[in-house]
Amino acid sequence: MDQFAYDKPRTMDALKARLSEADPGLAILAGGTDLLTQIRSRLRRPSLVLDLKGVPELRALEIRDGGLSIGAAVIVNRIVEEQAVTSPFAALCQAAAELASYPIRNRATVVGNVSNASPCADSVPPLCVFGARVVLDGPAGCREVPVHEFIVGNRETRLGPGEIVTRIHVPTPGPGAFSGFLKRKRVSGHDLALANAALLCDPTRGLLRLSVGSCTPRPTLLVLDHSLDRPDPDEAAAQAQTMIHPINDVRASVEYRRDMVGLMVRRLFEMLAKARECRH
Amino acid sequence: MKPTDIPIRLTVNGRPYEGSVHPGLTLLRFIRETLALTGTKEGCGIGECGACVVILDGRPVNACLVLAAEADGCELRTIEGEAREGTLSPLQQAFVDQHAVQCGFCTPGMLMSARALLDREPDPSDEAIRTAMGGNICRCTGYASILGAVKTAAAHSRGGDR
Repeated sequence: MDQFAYDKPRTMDALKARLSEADPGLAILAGGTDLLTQIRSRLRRPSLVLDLKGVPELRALEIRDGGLSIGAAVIVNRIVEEQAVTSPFAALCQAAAELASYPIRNRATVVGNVSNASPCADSVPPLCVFGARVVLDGPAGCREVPVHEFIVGNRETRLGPGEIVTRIHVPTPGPGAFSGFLKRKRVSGHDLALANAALLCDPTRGLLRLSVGSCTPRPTLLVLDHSLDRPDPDEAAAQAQTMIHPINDVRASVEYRRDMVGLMVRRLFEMLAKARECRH
Repeated sequence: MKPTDIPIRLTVNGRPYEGSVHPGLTLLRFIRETLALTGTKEGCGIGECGACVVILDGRPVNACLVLAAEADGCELRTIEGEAREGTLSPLQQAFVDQHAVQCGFCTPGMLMSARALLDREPDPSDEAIRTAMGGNICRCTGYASILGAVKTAAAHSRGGDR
């Protein structure tokens, strides 16, 4: 591959020091499942690859500050495996289980999935409905940005010069909350979503949120809180189908994507209804 | 200016290795070209076929998507470590017995994914097997014989052997 230097800082301070050099040829390496394919196809030509896996605090997956904290080096499979902390975040666990393939999930990170900002990122719809925030650290200090505002377009984020996403904070849903995730693919194995969607119903916090992915350049978030007590699946499906701008590509046509979005929204509401039944 | 080589130390199939690698060298090329262990194959080079699956610190990974430099301090297992002193493991034997090998190109990756599965879950459900093997593509067999071989090997390993 290309000529790039490689460095692996062992502390957060050392990592931030390298980032503050603001080298325009710098690429952050976490899982590498996007970066290495991009380097191989010459989409990215870094002069320095900075491996963040040497910084211990970036590997933390824990409950803190009223939510789930997913460190930048946390691999997707840990979301599936560490149910003791992740089980309240069902939609995120379901998305994690469907992302790419098992060996990819052993390297790919949730923070990387968000930062790469592909419109079909599977972690994004669940993170949006949970109201998750990216936590950034940089020359101007720490700041937090909601995931659905952090990603501004296809492979574009609001990451500033010298900044890094250190973790993602996902607020813990209230008791009795339901969340679900669905992904439509061409095959039952490793495939990108031609469309995906997540739903959160959190009665104690008054939230009914829907997010559809792989159909718009930016994340979508439909706020349906007003209909929390009497959800209208058909209305929600119609709204979702109107707000998206799907494209024709190798995976699906505009019409099929729109159709699948309607299907997934109605199925997510069926899953919600079933969960409510089980509770009573 | 040529970037400096990165020193790495790791174990490969239980044996220590020490050397230094060009930063851009993938783990796959390191295994095949530096270590001359050519059992691991390159099928797509972009993490979609699974032919290059190896076991790194107990987890099956696509070696084409890992830099050799990232393997510093790790335990690496390749297909060459599966047989013991020339004897096929029960898992490998099950692949042979159930005709789960045709051209053989996907086979090392299939075996590594299956080995990692059986190491972490000695009694996997059919669904668990499909999930574990879902990142490995085969053009020849139609998969039934491969899934059957993994199931047989799982039953065998519950009997005491690996």
